[in-house]
Amino acid sequence: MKIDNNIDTIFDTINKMNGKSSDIVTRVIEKKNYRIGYIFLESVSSDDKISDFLNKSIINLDKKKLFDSFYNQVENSIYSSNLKTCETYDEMFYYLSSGFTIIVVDNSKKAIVIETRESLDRGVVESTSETIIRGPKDSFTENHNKNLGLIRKRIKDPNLWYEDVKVGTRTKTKVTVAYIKDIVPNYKVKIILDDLKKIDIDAIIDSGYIRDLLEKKQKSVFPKVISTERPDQVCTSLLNGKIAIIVENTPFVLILPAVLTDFIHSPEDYYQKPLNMSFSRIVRVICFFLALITPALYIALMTFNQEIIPDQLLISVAVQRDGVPFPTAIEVLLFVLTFEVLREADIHSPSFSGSAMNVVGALILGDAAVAAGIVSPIVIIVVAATSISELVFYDVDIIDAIREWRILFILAATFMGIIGFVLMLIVFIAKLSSLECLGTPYLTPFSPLNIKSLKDSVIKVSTKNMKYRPNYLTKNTRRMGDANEENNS
Amino acid sequence: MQMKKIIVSFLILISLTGCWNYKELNDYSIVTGIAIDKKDDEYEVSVLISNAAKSSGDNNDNSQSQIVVYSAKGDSIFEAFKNIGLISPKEIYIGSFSILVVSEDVARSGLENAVDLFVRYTNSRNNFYVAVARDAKAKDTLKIVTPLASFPSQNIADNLKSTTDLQGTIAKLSFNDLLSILLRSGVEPTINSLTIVGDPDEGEKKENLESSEPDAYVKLGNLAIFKEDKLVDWSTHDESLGINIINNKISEMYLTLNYDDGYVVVDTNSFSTDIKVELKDNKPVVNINTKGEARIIEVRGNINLEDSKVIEDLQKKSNKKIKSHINKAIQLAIQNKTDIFGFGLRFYQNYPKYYKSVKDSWNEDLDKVDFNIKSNLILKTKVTSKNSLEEIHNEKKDY
Repeated sequence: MKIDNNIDTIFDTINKMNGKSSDIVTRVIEKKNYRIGYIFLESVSSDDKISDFLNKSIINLDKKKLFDSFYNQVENSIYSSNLKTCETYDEMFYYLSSGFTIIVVDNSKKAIVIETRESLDRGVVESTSETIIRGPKDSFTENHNKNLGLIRKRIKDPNLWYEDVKVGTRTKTKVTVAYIKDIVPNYKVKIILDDLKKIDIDAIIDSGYIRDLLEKKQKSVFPKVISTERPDQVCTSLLNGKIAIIVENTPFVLILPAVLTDFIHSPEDYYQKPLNMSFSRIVRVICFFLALITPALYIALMTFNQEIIPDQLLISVAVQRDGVPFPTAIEVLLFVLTFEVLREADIHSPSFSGSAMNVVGALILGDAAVAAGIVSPIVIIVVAATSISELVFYDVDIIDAIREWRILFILAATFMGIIGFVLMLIVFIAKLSSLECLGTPYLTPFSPLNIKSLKDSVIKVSTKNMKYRPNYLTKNTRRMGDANEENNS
Repeated sequence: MQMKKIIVSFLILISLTGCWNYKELNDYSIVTGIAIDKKDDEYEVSVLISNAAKSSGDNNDNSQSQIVVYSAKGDSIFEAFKNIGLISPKEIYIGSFSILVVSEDVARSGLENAVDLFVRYTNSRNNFYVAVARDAKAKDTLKIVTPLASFPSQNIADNLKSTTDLQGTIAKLSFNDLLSILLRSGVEPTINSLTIVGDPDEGEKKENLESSEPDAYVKLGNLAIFKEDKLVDWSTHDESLGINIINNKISEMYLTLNYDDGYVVVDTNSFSTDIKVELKDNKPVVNINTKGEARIIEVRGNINLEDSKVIEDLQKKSNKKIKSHINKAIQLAIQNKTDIFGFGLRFYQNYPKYYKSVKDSWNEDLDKVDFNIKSNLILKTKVTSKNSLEEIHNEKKDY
């Protein structure tokens, strides 16, 4: 709907559209021969900015008639660096909600929009969900511009492109696709932009919505995009040839395509000594399998294939299991469930009740359950080892994925022992290798084997030796000049 | 959607197996050792069961005395096992036990009958050790408790494992090795013996655990000589040593050498034996070469170790001693007409045609084989003190 050319009608229409919401502020300044009206939402706008820049400039409006119309005169006299125009009510309301102030004059089909946003965010603080020891500590916030800035200030390259799409019929959330023009193949960006434009949903509250909506036919609990709140990780990924999707009002940025090895990496890996970090990564790989299969393997060995266990261990396990009323599988499932309950409670409980929960979790559930003969101590060890192992991953999606597959493994082992376990392992590997994101197979660089990229997979060679970007992501692989090699040799 | 169907059908599929072969650990009595005795024509099988039930509980009594030995008789070993099932509250589980002890009677009447079950029984591991009880019931060896190991079976198995490397006369023999020897032609088994020192009735009591000098214990003995699967003779210490030297099962052993009026003990390391067989004028010749290093570990008497001639002399003596051990072992084999060293197997591998022609009379004609024995033990004199302490003491007195 085009805007009217009368200040009062415009104000009336806006008020009507928004049901005379209490935060709408309108004011009309009347001078001898002209009237200027402005409107803003006090909930999202900064009063100071409006008084400082808008009121002053209106009052000091030059009376000499330099411009052919009054509208142009106003437009050129406002002290604002970020000035736009709008022509429809829908647009107008989008700007109002974003914290802009709209200036209208009579007899004009356009309105002037100036930025007077109140900063409604918590500022750049340390990342809470992905903590590292060594490396940049800043993290994304809920402020879209700040997020874009945190990336831009790290990559001062004109080839870093941002493309915006507004998603959500009601929220009109800004979704920015960031990529480095000469590294990322164009078709990938096009696919993402097209998909984003096709999305028809009323609201986007978090980047999780986008991740779900972008996911195609292949359903999997394993995450095919990385979501991170660390700008340094986003930059590393962008420079490797990945694409970032930054969604307004959420600190979590999506990076795609992701492969499985990305989830055993941590941004810290690139800042510390390569040998130490290779060791850490190997530990994470071991933890991946520990978290996935330990309970299943335990059940399979305990209830089907006891002959695999060395005799002395077998006896000590038998001693521990004596008097436990439940079958091993139920025992394990019971305790796995208990841990999940504890974890769930821990996430949502405020910090003051955390210590109380520790006592309940550690003492009552662990110690007392053994003393009461409900579970055997070794099951507690198994579940504890499993649960600790899954916590080394800093991406919550991969933890959830491991958890779900773990239950499948447990079920298979419960019914068929080692054979079921191996069958499930085959299904697991088949499933993983069938996944792909933007044409990148999920198990790259192992399957298909990509020898060059193995340098930064489970092991990490020194930065000196990583001269090329992963060639499964980009054709523009040269990362480092040859001169560098000579200097270092 | 299709994936969902596949997953659902897969889950249904695995659950339809109805817990195939499912067995909880608590349903088993875990056997850690088996003993086989023979009385008349009946086998008496004894199983040593670790009693898991008694071990748990509040008192921190560790699982040392929580064992029980059940035995039952039967015409066959399997029948005897099934009869044990009548006594035991839980299913007898022989998936992983550490030692099989057979009595002398069983060994003399033939091992193959006794161990056949373990070959066919798929659920058991084949890495348990085999031993022969000498002058004792096999059952009793499993009964004697010791404070240093959780179970008597563990005690024997650990003992076999640890002394094999340290004592020349002991050579552990796992069931797998025994089977491969029994199933091959041209080689006969030798199995370590177990003897009981003290009263076995006292040894099974809990007091045996509490006294610092146990009333009874199980001791590893010398090798039993088999012909095919039947025990034919017991070897002496020297013969056992010789057998193990020839079979290259020794890395460490000691030799006591008499010298003048005192003696010198040398301790060998990296000791190995190499056997080569050949045919000379259609006559079998076996070359036995041993080599290794030794050092002086104990000296008594007035021996000047700084003198290189003395060292040379000692070296000669030790080589002579090794040769004599080997000779004794060979004589024992010839005497019992059993090729416990596997010379026949080597001839079969190198001269198959020749071996086939003599195969049937090989054991009997063992005395017609020529043996060339060479020993090349090098005595290293880099020891802390070159002379005996006694001598140093006397020297000091002179000042």
